[in-house]
Amino acid sequence: MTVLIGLSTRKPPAVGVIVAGVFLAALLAAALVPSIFTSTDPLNAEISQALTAPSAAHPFGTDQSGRDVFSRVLYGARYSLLVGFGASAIALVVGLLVGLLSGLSPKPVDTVLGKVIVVLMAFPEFLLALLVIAIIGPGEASLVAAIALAAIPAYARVARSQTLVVRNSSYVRSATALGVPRLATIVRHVIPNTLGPLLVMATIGVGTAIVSAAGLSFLGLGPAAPTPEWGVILSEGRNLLDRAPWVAAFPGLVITATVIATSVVGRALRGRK
Amino acid sequence: MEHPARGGRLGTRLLGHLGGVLLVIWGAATAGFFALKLVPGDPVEVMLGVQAQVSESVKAGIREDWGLNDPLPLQYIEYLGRLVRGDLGTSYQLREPVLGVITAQLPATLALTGLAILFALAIALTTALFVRGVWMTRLASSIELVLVSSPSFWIGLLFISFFAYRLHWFPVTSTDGLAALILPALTLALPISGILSQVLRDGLTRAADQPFALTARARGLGYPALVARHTLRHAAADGLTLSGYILGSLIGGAVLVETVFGRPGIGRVTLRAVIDRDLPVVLGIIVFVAIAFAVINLLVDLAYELIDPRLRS
Amino acid sequence: MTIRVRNLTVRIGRTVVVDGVSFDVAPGECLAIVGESGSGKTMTANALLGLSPGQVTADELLLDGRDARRYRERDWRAVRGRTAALVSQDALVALDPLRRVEAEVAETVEVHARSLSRAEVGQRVIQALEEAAVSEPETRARQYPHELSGGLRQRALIASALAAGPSILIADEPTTALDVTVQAQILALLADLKRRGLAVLLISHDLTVVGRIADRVAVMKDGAFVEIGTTAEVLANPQHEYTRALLAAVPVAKTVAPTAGEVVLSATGLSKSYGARAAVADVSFELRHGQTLGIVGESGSGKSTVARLLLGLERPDAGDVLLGETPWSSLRESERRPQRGRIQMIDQDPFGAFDPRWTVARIIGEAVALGERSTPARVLELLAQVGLGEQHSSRRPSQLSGGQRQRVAIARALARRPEILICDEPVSALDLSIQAQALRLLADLQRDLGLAIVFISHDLGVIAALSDEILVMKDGAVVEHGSAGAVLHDPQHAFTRELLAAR
Repeated sequence: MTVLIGLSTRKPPAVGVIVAGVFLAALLAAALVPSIFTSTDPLNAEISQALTAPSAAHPFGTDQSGRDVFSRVLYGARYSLLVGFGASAIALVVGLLVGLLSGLSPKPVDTVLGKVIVVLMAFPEFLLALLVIAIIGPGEASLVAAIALAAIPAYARVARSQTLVVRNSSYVRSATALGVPRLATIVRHVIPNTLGPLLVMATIGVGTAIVSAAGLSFLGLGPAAPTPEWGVILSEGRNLLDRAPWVAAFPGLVITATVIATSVVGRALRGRK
Repeated sequence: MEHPARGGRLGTRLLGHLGGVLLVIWGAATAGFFALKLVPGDPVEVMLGVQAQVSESVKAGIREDWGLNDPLPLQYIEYLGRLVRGDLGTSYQLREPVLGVITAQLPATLALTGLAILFALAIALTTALFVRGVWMTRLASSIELVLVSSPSFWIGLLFISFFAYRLHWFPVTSTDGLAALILPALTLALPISGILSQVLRDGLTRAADQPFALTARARGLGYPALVARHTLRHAAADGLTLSGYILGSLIGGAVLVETVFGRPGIGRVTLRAVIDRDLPVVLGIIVFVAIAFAVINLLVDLAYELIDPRLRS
Repeated sequence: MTIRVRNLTVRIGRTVVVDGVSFDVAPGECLAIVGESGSGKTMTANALLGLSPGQVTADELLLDGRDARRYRERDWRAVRGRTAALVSQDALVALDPLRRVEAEVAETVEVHARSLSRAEVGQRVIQALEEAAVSEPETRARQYPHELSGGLRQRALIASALAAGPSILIADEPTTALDVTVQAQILALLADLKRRGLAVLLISHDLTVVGRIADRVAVMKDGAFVEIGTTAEVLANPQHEYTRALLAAVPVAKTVAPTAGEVVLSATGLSKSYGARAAVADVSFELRHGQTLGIVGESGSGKSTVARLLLGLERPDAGDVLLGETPWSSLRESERRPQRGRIQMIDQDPFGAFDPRWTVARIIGEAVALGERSTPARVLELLAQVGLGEQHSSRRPSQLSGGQRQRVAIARALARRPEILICDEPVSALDLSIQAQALRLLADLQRDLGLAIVFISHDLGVIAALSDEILVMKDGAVVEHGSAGAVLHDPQHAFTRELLAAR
């Protein structure tokens, strides 16, 4: 899922980047202070209003308990963004450290570490995340841990290969010939040039982490109902497909939009490096 | 190139690949074994459930039967020994051999993923070959972006809602038959086809900019011949790099798609095992997936060498 | 006339890349178009094959007697390979690496003679390979391009161009990627083909290559011909000042004799192997203050490895490097580091040699700060020494031209006030006219600062311009070593003679 980085070397049009940025900012605002966007309480269940189609009062319609889907989605943003940012940040830092360590180590150590990373990468991230949850049990914190752990090998691999490239590059060789001390070379040249691609990966990774989190919640492995987490809403929506398809349609739409936005921003970042 | 020497090198390369496969399987099995030992709680109590009214002596007996009282290294060795014999242990919940559980569900998942791969290849090849020109390419890229960014299970839900409930083209819950397989396979195929077609298209474009393409055109080749004789093979090599991602997407996606469409298969087995903390099954799935990956990687490596002669010797 | 062109113009968007050129090429004749990158020579060649990415107009464009101005794509496809064929630079990438040689050569035949049977096509392939003087054609045909040597590959590429029996051969830098000795062989092949009746259009930036087989030469600059005439006339008696500049840019042997100083760098018995391959075997020399030692050899001769050993970037398996009297190669890196200011390097790749994210000021500042306190004044002083100004200091390497980047590399190397400068192919990536400027700069700096220079290159002309002493390397070993005058005018070893003859 973190493979999306390989796609499309074209820089997205400036308009697209701005729209994506605005959308993400709005999402962030919704996560922090949902009440700016809606005055409805997501937990407010009015049975009389159950299963109404989208309207002015309820832009995303209502669910089987009469709760406003729009406000549920807005309040759910904080859970998804928390998991997305948290998992990506952890995976980035740990992956960077592991990759740096491997790339800068003497060859035998690097070969072994490299093989371990490759073996770990042989597993689909989603399955790894499932495995972690099997061990530590379901819940919101578990989502962060599971997704982060599952993503670390991908970051570590990029960090390692980038470190190796930088380590063997002409400018690092020049630095050595100039007489720059080894630690200074690492701090000034190796780390900043390795970090670049990883930051781009992490930006797009926030999006894919949110999808993974939604998937795991959908399967019942995340926070429990009635938490308005997006995956939970989707699993509720599954049973309502014949009567109220909007319950499933809109949260998924928001998730898709979020992933697209992070993807566009990530690609724009890469273009600037 | 003398053929006997080439055959010998092929043999050593195969041995090398095989060694790699075994290494991956061993690594996965070991990692899984120790990871599951980390699970808090007593496996027997987990297995029996909280409500079970079973005496301590019976529990002790079960522990003894399952070898859970032995020292850890011994358990590990016995585990490896059983693995080599093809015994993946017994499910806590289902009281059946894990291998049997997996193989019983395998055909359904294989049918699903097989059809999904066919769909993905068909879609990807069609768009890669026929989408040309700035506007069509931009449109295709946008569609692919949406496909790749959407949660696959959400697409499945939309499909059910639209094609099954609204249009009544397909059955709602899938039981048997090809018709029931189409929507789930398509759901699984779409994100993959999104990336695959982009990679193939980029590969074709990049190859067409290479000097050898200029040489080929300077010989009088038209575009279709250029693709057929030259650039498609180069793009295929690019596509192969995605095989790991594709396999991962299929396996991970199978869990979600089978749940959404209510289909039997490995995905549901895995989900049940995770929810029930049925550790032998989880471990069995890990080993199984490792084997599948290792074998596929082996085939992909061989395919690479088939396509690109520079990788041989 | 097989090719007759009058007032050919190529436009890409609003830019005119080829501006009204006219020329003829007769059968059995070779016309060379010479110019630097961006002059429009490749665009002209592409226009003759209908492969131009822009708009092509001409008063006359006759190929083998037929008017090509109104050709549509279908008409061009009939011409390409059959009437006019293309030979590009570097067969390693100009041939499809995933296909066997026989497939590549056969393709031309299959496109233009669809009725032939497989056996007949196969025969035609072998014939074409023989025409291109490929040894053991049956074996070579079954091989892949990467399995052949550079020279054989280029011949295979030429064979694929000849396979359908064209009357026009367009060769675009056909020898640039090859070693000097192999270049000569390929040029001989082209001359042979010309004698057999082909009309050859040769595109090149290298005047020496042109001089060997072209009958007539056209000098191209900014899309137009500035001069056109027979080779003898243009090379001996250039009319246009640009032609004169190009010719003058070919380096000539240095005439100033050095004054002998103390030994600042010495290598004794240096050897280094990678696995079973001996990259450097028993290399020894002494370098004196104010002197230049030129090390010349082809790719794979071990000269870059010598550079790395001299700089202490790698440890020799045997032998020693001494800085003056003090040991150098035998030290540990931590002991060496304080001394590194005495010996600095300039790389071939000025772009890769800098951290892509840093500005020029920061790049040079880092180097200065290693030996003394870094001040903006010192940075500007160094930039001025290499002919750059304050406006360059805030730019990034990607914003500079190739020549400017190389100057920054020189400035950085001088920052630590070294005694010795190791230059590994410092001008190979530069255009011919820029090369001369860079070499003049190095010569001036050497004179002003008393630098001792080790100059490594594959280009004997460049070596001759700067070196007082010359070391010739082949396959890791020194085959000739002596003063520049002796090596250039009275070479002892056969390989040195080959190198000189190839110029």
